[in-house]
Amino acid sequence: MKGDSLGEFEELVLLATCSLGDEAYANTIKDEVETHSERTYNLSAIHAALYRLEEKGYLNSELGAPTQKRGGKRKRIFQPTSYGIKSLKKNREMRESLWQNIDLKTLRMAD
Amino acid sequence: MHTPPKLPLRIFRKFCSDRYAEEIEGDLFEAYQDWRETRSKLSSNLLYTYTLIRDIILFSKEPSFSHSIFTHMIKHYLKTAWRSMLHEKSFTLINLFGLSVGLASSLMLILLIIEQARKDFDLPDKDRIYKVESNIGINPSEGFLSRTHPGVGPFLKQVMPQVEGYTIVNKNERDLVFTDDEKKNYFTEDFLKADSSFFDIFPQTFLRGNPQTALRSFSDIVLTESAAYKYFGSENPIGKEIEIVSNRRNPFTVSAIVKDPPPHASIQFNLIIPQDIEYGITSPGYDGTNVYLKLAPNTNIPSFEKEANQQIKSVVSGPLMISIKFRLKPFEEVKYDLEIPNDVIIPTDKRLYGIFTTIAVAILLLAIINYINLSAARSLKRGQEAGVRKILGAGKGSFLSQFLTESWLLCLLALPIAILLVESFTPYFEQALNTKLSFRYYSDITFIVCTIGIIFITGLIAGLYPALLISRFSFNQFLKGKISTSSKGQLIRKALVIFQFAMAIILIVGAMIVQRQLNLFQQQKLSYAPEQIVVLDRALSQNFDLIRADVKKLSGIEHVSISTSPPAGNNMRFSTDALNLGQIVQGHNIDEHYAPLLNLEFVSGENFDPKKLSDYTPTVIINETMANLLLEVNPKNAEHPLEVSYPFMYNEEARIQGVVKDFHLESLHEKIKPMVFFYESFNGYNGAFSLIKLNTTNIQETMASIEEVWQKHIPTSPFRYQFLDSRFNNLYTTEMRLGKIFQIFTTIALMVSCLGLFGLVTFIIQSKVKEIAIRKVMGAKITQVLSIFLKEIYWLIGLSSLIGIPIAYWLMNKWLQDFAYHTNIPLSVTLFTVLLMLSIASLTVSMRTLKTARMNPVESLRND
Repeated sequence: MKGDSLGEFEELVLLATCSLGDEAYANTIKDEVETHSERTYNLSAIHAALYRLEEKGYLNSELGAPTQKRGGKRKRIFQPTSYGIKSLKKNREMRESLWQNIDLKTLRMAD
Repeated sequence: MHTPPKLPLRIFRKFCSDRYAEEIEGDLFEAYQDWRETRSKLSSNLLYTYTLIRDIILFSKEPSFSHSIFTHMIKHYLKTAWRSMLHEKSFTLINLFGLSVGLASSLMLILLIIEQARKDFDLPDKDRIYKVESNIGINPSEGFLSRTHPGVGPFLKQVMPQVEGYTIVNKNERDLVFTDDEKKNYFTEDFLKADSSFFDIFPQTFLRGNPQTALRSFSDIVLTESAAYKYFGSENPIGKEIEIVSNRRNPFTVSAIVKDPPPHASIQFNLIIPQDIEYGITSPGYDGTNVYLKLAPNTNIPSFEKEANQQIKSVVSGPLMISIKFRLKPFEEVKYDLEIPNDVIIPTDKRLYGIFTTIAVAILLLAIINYINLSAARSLKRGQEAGVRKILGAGKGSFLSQFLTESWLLCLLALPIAILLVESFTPYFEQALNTKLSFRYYSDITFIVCTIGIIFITGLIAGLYPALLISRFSFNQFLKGKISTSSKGQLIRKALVIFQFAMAIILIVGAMIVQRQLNLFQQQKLSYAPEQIVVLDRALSQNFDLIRADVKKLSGIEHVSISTSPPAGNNMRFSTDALNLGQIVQGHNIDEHYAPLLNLEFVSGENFDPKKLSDYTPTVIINETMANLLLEVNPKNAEHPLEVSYPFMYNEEARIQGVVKDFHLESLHEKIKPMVFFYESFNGYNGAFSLIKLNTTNIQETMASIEEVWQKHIPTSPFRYQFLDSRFNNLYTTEMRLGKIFQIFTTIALMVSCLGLFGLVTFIIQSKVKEIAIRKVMGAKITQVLSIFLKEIYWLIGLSSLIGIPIAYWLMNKWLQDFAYHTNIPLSVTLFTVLLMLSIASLTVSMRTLKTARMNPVESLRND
């Protein structure tokens, strides 16, 4: 379904979640995305993306332990589902195959 | 540890969904700690608050049932309203069209009312301004007149402390003449003749000059901005000279420039010249002028009038002046006073507005009735939906909200269409009502409020009935599907249709009668062909005999006559009751060509013959009315009243040498007056009109050669002409406008009611599809099926004719009473109206019914 496909920003968030392992919650994901994309995002945008991804089935989540730095509140740890990983892979393959079709002349235009 | 701001957090906790609240709060708390390390406190707090608000918006709680049921239900109503509108597209279109037209006409109405309310809104103390009217006692049948003795103003100011100020003012058209390169150019302008007190009572905005000095010298002239621009361009006009055709005060010097009177001002003018009459109140005769008084606040008018009359009577001399009775008329009434001619303030016809209002309201009503009938029928069809609602607990209130939402939504949709209609039809209405709508409505708060009000009320009226109707059924009635064939409320709906038809009948009869009266004007039995007779504008000259002779020589000219009194105008030479006949007698000066030119028929006697006229026994021609009056009153007690001499005008006795058949000189509003025609050769210095009867197809060339003759003999006056038929038409502009308005509105009303009928019949048929099918199975023919429906509609039309026709008769009779000569309301008009209604209705019904009646009965029956 069209509404369930992976958006560009969602893909970023999903990738960041995969790379963070057990430490993947909103704040760390935000840092990770920001470092790699070299721009800043509002925390609420990360929240929105995470919960949407979870709704669509790309992510699972569970509540972690409360820490003092969080004012005694628990954090929600996100983990990619196998469907999520599969979708990422599929996206990558699709891109790779598109890349294969670009000739050298076009590639060198940006050099 | 840094503590984040508390207030946003509290709001967040209240509104954020519990599912996310803890973790988001934690995330934000953590982020806040980091921000405080790298940013200022203020910036961190702002960022924290901003992020929280975004989170609240993203993850707010599902609205709980208790506190947002209202918005929830509204959303629901809007959704169902929208769906049902889309579902029945043709009925939505009918309703939309009807409501747009109805709204458009009521918006026009508001525009006109606001326009009226704005009339003279910036005139200070207008409730204290009065016009003096006088009634000449020896001529009581003439009634009160606007033009009165100019001395009344200064005298009352002197003796009555209540008078704060007065102004003496007249208005007429004059021609300005500008000569360039030997060629004379004439321009007709609206002139006011006034003194400087005019500016005290009717203030004007001075661009150059000032009110005190503007009209000081007899040859001063004040121009409006646009007149100044017209004649002098962007030059400074002050001190420039202006010449007025045949005026002894020439040349005039421009002394001041005022702003153009705004369109909402009652007093319109282009130029002002000073008043030159200075009669004291004691002089026995006078040049009639308009006198306006400004009285002190809270003056008691009846006692003021009484005292003023006494004061004036004590100083005046001469039988004429003693007999005059004065009274005051408030400025606000003068503006609408059509009875008493008034040249300074052109009155507006309030009746026209009244008629317009009535018709606009009628059309809105028609549209609303359409809506009520259609949506009632439709809601019955949607019975099952209503039944389910009822089972789920919907009460009267919820049905009300549902239907009101629907009707308001439709009204809102109709509004832009209505505004579009108003925009595109405004020019026609301006033409029809002869007023320029100066008012920019889209930015006016009154207009917007009125519009919203109208939409609100229209929606309320339209939605109320269907809602009440539906809520009266119990839900098992709904579910059994008996609603759509129910007869509940049918009586009301039928009554509404009858009302609709009655209104349409009244409008049609009205339109036809107005048209008949207009035809009567246009085809009034004239003894002459008005389209062949040219009237040259009045001029002062001593060369009229030359004009007459030279024009006669041109080819294509049948007759030329010089006279003071061309038909279709109020140009009587004088009117008097010198003979004490108890009636005003009009006097006209004519030459020997007048009677043959107008093809007047002599009952007895003969036309003037200049060769036979002797200076010793002057003779006159009279009309039949005058002859009858003389026979009846017989002032000289003669045996043969028509054979003795009378002092008709001057003290000189004159013999009657001929009696002509009555003919119309004035409009048909007026009865034919007793007339006396005096012979005048027009070879002295005279002011007169020239009547020329053409006998040619090449009008343009003939007119050009007539103009040449005119230029040769009367170069000082502009050559201006008008054909007699257009002169007559000018007398009836009000009626023609009325005719136009009636035509437009009747068409609209008919269209709206036909659409309503169409919709209604459709629904009746839909609820009777099975009945028709069964009838057909039993052997009924298509014509028999048709006749069932037609019978019902004919009943309705019959009833509405019974209501509508008497009302139409009564209304139109009242209107016709205003004309001295008026058409009747023949039976054929009513018959035609009823037949028209019957045929339109039959057409509508047949169009809808035939389709269903032709259908194979199996199609409609097998569904069960």
